[in-house]
Amino acid sequence: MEVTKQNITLADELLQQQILNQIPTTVMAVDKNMNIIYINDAGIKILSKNMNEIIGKPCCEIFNSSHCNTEECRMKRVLATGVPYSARNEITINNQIIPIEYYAVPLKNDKDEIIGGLEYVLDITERVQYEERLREQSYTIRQMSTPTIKLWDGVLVLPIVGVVDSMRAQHMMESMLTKIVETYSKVIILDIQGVAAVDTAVANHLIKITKATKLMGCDCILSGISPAVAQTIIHLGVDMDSVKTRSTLSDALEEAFTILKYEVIKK
Amino acid sequence: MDKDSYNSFTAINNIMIVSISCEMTDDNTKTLLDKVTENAYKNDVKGVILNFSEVTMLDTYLFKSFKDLTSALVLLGVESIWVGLKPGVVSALMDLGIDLDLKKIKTAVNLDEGLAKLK
Repeated sequence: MEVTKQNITLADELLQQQILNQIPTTVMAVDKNMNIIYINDAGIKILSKNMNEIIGKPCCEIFNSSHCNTEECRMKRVLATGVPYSARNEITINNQIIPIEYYAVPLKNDKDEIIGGLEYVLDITERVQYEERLREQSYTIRQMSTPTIKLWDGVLVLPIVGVVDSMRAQHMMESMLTKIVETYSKVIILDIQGVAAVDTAVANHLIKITKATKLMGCDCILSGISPAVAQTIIHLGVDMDSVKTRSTLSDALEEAFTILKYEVIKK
Repeated sequence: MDKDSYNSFTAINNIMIVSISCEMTDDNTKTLLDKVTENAYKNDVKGVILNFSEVTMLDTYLFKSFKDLTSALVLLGVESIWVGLKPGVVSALMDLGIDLDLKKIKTAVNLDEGLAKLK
């Protein structure tokens, strides 16, 4: 049974040109020698040049990016291999550096030979700003979230809340070691009750921290271990032999007093 | 022929305090180890404090050397305590990624503590 086409006018060449020119981001094509053979309106606008200043010129001359004329140029790779590539880059236009993401794909003829390449370019200035803001916020959170507190004479406590990744573990370790030297503390209690997930990586970070504090002459006690976490750690096969652990902060404090040979007497 | 960097030994009450200098090379480390063990033996030392407060860097070789020194002293019946490691040095040591077996090493947070632990 034949499917009857409705009365739809398919886009003719003129309309196709308009479609390309309405794309709000730069689309350009190069031949095998990387000379520009097509560029859409958006591209012309961004480059603030005339069409004849662009067509026929090598694309590196026009775009002046940090990948141009280096092994990083993805269009070069596409022309060589016929495989699509994408990458982040920077272009300089009118002495302004714009961060971009560009995608390059091959153009082939009927015989499936590579005759050139198509590139479209996305301006990612906003994305880069978001990333920068995210970095700043992460930094702020890190700064806010690791205060090492002096709990008693010679006893420090560091409550950890949230996710422990390697960067945070490193930052925690540095702030702990500095505090130990400043206060000459002999015991530091690391409370992990607020740590959502303890996997092998987190456990290893914690063990590394306890070794570091030990080297500085300070005993480290891990507290806030929940039953679920205890089972997970054993199940994962992490070797906790070198680490003192307690389930609650108060138990850890008691252990600290024992280590320091303090006795608590009720009057 | 003593052209290695200045390592000082001080003795108080049968306890020897070894101040390790910041210029430990492969050569003078060996010399230091020899000197400390000989001194410990000759002067009837009961405890040794290894003072690392001048040390700016500990690599795998140095760390192993001092661990070996600690074990050698144990064989001589002498207890040793490591004191004064700087946070930066410890951080860098942890980053080396070697598996540090700290069971045989005793440490203290400062000289006072170290002396107290040796009594």
